[in-house]
Amino acid sequence: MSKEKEIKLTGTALKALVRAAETPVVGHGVKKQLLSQMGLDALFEIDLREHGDPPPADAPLQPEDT
Amino acid sequence: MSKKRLTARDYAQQYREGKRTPEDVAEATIAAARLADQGRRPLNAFVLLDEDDVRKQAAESTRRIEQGAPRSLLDGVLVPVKDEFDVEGFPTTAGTTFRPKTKARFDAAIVQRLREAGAIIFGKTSMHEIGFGGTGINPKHITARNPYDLGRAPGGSSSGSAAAVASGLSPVALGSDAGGSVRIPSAFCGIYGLKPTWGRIPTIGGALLAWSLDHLGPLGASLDDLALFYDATAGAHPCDEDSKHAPDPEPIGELDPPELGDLRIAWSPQLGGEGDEAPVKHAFLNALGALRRSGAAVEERTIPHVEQAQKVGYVTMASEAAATQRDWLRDHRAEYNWDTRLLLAVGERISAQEYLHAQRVRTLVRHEFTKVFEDHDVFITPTTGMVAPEISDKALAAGEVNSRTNALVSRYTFLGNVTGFPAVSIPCGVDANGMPIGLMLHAAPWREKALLNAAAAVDAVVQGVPRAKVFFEV
Repeated sequence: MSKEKEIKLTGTALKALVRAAETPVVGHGVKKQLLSQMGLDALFEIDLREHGDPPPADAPLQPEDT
Repeated sequence: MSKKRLTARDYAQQYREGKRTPEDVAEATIAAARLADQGRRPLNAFVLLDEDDVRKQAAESTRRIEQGAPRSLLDGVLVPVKDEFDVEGFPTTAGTTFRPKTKARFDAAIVQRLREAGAIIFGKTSMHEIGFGGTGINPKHITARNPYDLGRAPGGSSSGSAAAVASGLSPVALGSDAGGSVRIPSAFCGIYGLKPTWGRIPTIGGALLAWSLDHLGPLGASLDDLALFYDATAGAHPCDEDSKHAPDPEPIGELDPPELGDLRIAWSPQLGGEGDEAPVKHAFLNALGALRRSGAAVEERTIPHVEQAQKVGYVTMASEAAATQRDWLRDHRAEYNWDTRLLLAVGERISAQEYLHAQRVRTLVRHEFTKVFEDHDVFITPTTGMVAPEISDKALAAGEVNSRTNALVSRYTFLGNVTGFPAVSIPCGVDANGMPIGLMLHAAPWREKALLNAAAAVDAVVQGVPRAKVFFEV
């Protein structure tokens, strides 16, 4: 699991990263790295078979039974 | 409790007693709004303020009140609208430079309901571009400033609405909240903000960011303002898919806080804490202490998977935002702010599997969070993990991606968005620089009345905030 790493970018560095992120192949690598740096590996590493294999959340709430 | 600002109910009383008229108030507020934007660091709460349109609405409201026929307590009250919602006769920018300047043909459903209540639609407020940020810093468009310190961000994305209320220009304003965008600026600006249950307030006529996360809600000078706004706007709308099956809302009316001894409050050390700025930690612990001393049952609770809420929110928001912006990106990619472009580029590359995995974890989070309310009335956290950050020149010039800020502003708020449960932010003190700190309460779905009443009980015992340094008595 990657450790969360602080990202602080502005100006030229930000623009360069954006251009890389928008590039067809390189962009996927940028996305993967950014999500990992934000600590999202932990989310994707959850094995949902161990948690009852939940379905995707539907519209956030169902109405009350009346 | 915070030092009193004028509330909608105060204005209504003044109107009924004949001490003031909506026309007086509108004129004074127009002058104040102009003054707020003078100087080296303008407040920039508004993208658009049509003074003649406001005067026309104010004249109509004054006549209704003079004839003894106000439509509601909101009649004659000035309500700014986040520029994400259509107001008939005016364009909707959603904080961008490139959306067409065509005037909306119809009001958004919520604007229509506010008008039916007699509220005066007082301009369109500035926001973080397309709603995709928690600071309100919008280099290519308009960046509002924090009335507590004009060198700091007001929070986002409902930044202008927060600035308008905190500076006294209005007692209540409209915002929207997909990851905290009502509650974050409320906390940063020392005011109150409500994100109701998902589907409670119709969203049609809004340029929303993320369909499964977005909620509409008020930012107000008091909890009573939030309640009045809610009573005027909540309820199913036949044309709005998300609200059409919602249960009928229970009117809140005047707040009726329970005895603190009867309130069962849960909190969880799993959420945030470590990494929060010290003043936020202290304010939160002080609030828990004050509640315990007042007799409330405050219990630590373990909630499996709750720490995933922010991560689920990130993936969901990025992916859904990329989807809502898909057609705009094709024609206008280069016109977005650089930070927005980065987040959208990431969102475009989140796979269907990754998105669905996040939605499955969302089911777990919601299931476990629901159980909290079997034994507790409210769940309490700080609103944000930090106070309002400074607006740097570099960020203002070209945008900024700051993962620390992104993590701290939304570490508590996403829980309400991914579950859809209602949440309210109230002020709970200031840091050594006088910057406000927010406290947030959640309740079970559709329990907005219980939530706001509980918040009123809590508000009475936690530390309040002084009025903002930039404040207009109108």
